[in-house]
Amino acid sequence: MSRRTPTEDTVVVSSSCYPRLEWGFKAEPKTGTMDTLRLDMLAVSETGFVFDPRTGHSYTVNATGLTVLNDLKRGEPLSTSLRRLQSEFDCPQTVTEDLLAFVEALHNYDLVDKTNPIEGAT
Amino acid sequence: MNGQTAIAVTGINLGENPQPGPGVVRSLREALGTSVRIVGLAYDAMDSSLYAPDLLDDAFLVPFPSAGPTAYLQRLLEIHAQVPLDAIIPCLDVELPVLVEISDALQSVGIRSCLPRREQLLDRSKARLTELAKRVGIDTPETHPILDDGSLAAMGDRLGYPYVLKGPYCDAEIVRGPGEAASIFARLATRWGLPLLAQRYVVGEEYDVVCLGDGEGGMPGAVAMRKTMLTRLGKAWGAVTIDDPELIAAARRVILSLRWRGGCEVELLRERGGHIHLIEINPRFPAWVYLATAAGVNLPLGLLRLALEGRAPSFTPARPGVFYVRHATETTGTLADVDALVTRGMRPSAPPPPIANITSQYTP
Repeated sequence: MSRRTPTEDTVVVSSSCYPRLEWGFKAEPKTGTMDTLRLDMLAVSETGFVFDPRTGHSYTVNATGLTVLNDLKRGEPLSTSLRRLQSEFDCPQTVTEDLLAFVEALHNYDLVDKTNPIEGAT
Repeated sequence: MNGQTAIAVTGINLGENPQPGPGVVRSLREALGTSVRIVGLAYDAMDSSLYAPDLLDDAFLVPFPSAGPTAYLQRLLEIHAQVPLDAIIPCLDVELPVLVEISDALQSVGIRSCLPRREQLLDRSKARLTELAKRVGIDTPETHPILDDGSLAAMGDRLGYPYVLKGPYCDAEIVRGPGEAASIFARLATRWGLPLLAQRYVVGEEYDVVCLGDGEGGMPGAVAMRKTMLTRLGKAWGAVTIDDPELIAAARRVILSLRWRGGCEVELLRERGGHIHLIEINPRFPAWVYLATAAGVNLPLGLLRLALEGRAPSFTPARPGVFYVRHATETTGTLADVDALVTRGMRPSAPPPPIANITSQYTP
């Protein structure tokens, strides 16, 4: 598989309307799996357009975000996503922070109930 | 009539405050094609659908419902003498008390309808919303009637700011402070009459469900949506269908409790934590009813079946992710159209002429 070059904002998620601005999530290192119930319902296109049929909100994700989102929908731990980002993209060392920020954004958009920070990440 | 079913539809102006009639007509046309003859009933010669191509077969002016049931019935019978009607679908809140009162008289001459009863209309009214919400186990924001502007300050103290001031039939504005309460009160009271209703402002997202009730507690079909674009008046200019079983279940409880017969719109608000509030029940299809048809649930067709045959088809759940954006365009007519409507109360059965013909009338 060829390595892809991420854009400057390596992992992003953005709402097309009514963005929620409350940021109450606190990432706490722990293991376990993501609550995928809500993620299962998401319609995700190959190009990164995301629709939540429960609320009618839509989002867009870039290539790296799409990779992570699809991993989460499959129930993969974040450590898998991290390895995938490092192997498939030219990601900088700060990708771990970006990945956690992405999950935090998913939480703030009510798309996941809790996070599964990367095992062993510092 | 060539075997056509003639359906009278009201509420046909698609203006700044869009009415449901055009969406109802489009839904019926899509399902029934040329087997249906649509008779538009307008309150003003400038109601936009009068001049929209492919929408109406005939058009008549009718008196405002405030003229009373006798005058309204008389006019409908005059129209019935010219174009024998099989059914009427009223699409405006203020028409319903009048139509309910004359429905038996209309039925006796063969004009059928699918309407709620008078008690059902009252039970869904804004004044009784709290009582209904309690009965169906859904919260509703604290609401109080206001009869004069002298009680506005006390209401502000009681509900806090902002709160919502609503007209008795429709329309609502947010009161953000004591300074604007009196002017909003005057505006709504002048437009809609009294009493107004003051409602506690709840932060959350509004979701609307368009429903069809069979009058026996059943709900043959319902579609939920979230507004994505609002006009200055707070009307939906765009929306998307969603799949939220909780909202549909809430609407079903309302329909069951009221034993609602006909179309309606249940307005709900979901707080961030997921808690649902019942905000309002509109006693007719909303202006966005065609979105439901586009999502696979043709509720106007279901309502027509209920009116004509006493039963509605069973609908499959709507497709989520179907959206609409309202498209405003110009409809055109000639002086002859306006002449016919204003002086004879009807428009001849002919499509609006193309622009070229209009121009040629003024060529020396």
